[in-house]
Amino acid sequence: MSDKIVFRLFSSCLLTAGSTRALICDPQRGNYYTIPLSLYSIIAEQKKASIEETLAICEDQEEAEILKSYFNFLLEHELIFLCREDLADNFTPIKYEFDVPAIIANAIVQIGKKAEYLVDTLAQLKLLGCQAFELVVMTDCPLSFLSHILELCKGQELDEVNLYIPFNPETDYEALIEEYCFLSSVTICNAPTNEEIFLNGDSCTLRFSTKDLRDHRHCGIIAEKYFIPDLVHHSESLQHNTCLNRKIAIDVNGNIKNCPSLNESFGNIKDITLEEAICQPHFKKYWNINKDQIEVCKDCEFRHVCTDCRAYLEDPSNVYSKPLKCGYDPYTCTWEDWSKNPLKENIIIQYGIHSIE
Amino acid sequence: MVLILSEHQDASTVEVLKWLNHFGITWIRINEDDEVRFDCLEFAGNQLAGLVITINGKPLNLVEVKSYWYRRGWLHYGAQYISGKISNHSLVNENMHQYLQEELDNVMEFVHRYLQSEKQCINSYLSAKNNKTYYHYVASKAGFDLPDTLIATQKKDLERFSDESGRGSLITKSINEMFSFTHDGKCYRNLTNEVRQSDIQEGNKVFYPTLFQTYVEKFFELRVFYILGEIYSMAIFSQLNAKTQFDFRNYDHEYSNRNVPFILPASIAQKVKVFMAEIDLNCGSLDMIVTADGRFVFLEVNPVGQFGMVSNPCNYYLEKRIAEILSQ
Ligand code: SF4
Ligand code: SF4
Repeated sequence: MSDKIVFRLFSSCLLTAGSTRALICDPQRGNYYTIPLSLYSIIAEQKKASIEETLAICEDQEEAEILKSYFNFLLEHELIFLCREDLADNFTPIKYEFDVPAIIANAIVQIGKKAEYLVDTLAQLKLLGCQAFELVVMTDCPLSFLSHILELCKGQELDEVNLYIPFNPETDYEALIEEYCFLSSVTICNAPTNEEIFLNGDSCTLRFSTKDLRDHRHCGIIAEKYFIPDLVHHSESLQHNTCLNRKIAIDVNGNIKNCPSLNESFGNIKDITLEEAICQPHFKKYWNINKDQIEVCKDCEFRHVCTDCRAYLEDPSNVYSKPLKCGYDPYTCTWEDWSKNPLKENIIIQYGIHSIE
Repeated sequence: MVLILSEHQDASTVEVLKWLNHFGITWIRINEDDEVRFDCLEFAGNQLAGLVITINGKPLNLVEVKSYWYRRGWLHYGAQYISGKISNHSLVNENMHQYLQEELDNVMEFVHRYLQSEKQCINSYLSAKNNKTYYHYVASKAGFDLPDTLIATQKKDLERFSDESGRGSLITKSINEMFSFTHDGKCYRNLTNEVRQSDIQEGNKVFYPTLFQTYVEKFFELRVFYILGEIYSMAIFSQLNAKTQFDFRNYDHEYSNRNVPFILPASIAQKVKVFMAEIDLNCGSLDMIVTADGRFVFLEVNPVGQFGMVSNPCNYYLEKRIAEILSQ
């Protein structure tokens, strides 16, 4: 047995190379770090080399010093570890398998005046294995109506519900959230202030927004604050679309869609079951569009922590086009405000997004 | 139909049930707080024709069960029939109650035995008791490296054990399982602790049976989930963090452990299989330590350990795997 000590990336840290730089994502600690491509190739090769050996192949002293500081950074953040050479291969990479026990994993349900089909819709979603529900109340929402909806959810034993409702000065939201502990978030739209409060031991977020976030044209924004440094997300993103995979939407008129912002309807909840809608030939057409197939994103180091959007595209005629609402350029590694980009002006008008700001 | 015996609070069971639902497999879950009653057992024409228990009043014919998972918990059948007085003499009452209880225990033990031998089954209630001392013994026979261990009652034995050359420092931990309770808002529990020379010197001459073990300097810990011959291991790096040097359950939330998938060397995997066969468990979680010089040291096996903490970080999908096995 040799006593050589080699360095190894913790396989829980996920590497992604972009065209200009790379990313180390550390889901176990909820962090990610951008690194130069040169360092990426040294780590990704898993060559079973010691740090000393790696430093020795540097061209000059200056390069060695830089590499040394990189190693210090990697060790300090516990992204790599040192290991006997004979054990190194037992540290196998994580298999990026992805599966969920659900035909539909998340649903957006817009609720109209009478919430007529809500019970039936929720019951169908439960049977499909749906785990995350976004319920959007499109009409006025007096307390009695809200309680009615929440009782329906309770009756269906839903566990992850994100609720969007219009502001009503008479409602005591905190008391409501305390009573209905299955709520993951409640967003109050058209509120007088912007504010965020964490309740039920941080299991629920109460958010007040001055905007009307029920309007689905607000959706699809790509920003660093929405990045998800997570193993399941990373694995899903390698094969699937991280927004639309196993998603369904029922709009305020009962139309069954992939998302409220996508126009195509697969039938109405009054006429057909959700299962019938899903079985239609085009229903799953977005599910397997992954970031490696999307223009620009495929060159981006953030592509496996990033979310996606297929409803608002830079080029509406190309289903593989980059999300319109992303201001990141992976070739220059800079962020800009997407909504102020003159090249996007016409498309923004075409989608009718300009009128909601 | 799949039968699962579990505990009310167990989150892993819920995950497995989601997969069973997804596969379209029907199941029945019994928890420790469900009321179970024996109903009827019948042999006819030289074979078992029926074995019926009721769960919260609903009958279940166990002959119709196809596969069985003993996750945790027990069949709560304690109070059946044994109410009221049989005689005016308390001694007669006590003995009669004991007699009746044993009658029922006998048939209920058959229920467990029948499920684990006749069904596609994972784990077993009758083998799930955590016989740590016996398991240590079996591990030694299976060829595992083990920390030197002493369960003693006298200072002189402890001194001799501690003096033996090359042993280094000692630790103490429970002989049996982890134990904890809360009183007055304070949590009491046993952890693994270092035993210093001064502790030995100042200690009593005779003491309650206590376990001592040589402290094994670890490079990392291993959690090995074994299920029907399949092995899923995870390396836990806790020592990057000095605070968790003795027991990783002293969680440090600021800088969590590193948990990564690991493949056991073939020779160690073979020992795991021999060991599990010997203790008659087809599923369980083993704890090991890998030392800086590359030795794999066996610590313990937990028949009903949490496997979610292995499954999630390593992306092993163990909940799905269990559901698949139960669906076969
Ligand atoms: S496709 Fe775009 S608009 Fe539709 S839900 Fe996803 S992010 Fe939102
Ligand atoms: S280019 Fe924008 S949308 Fe595409 S992966 Fe990068 S950050 Fe995400």
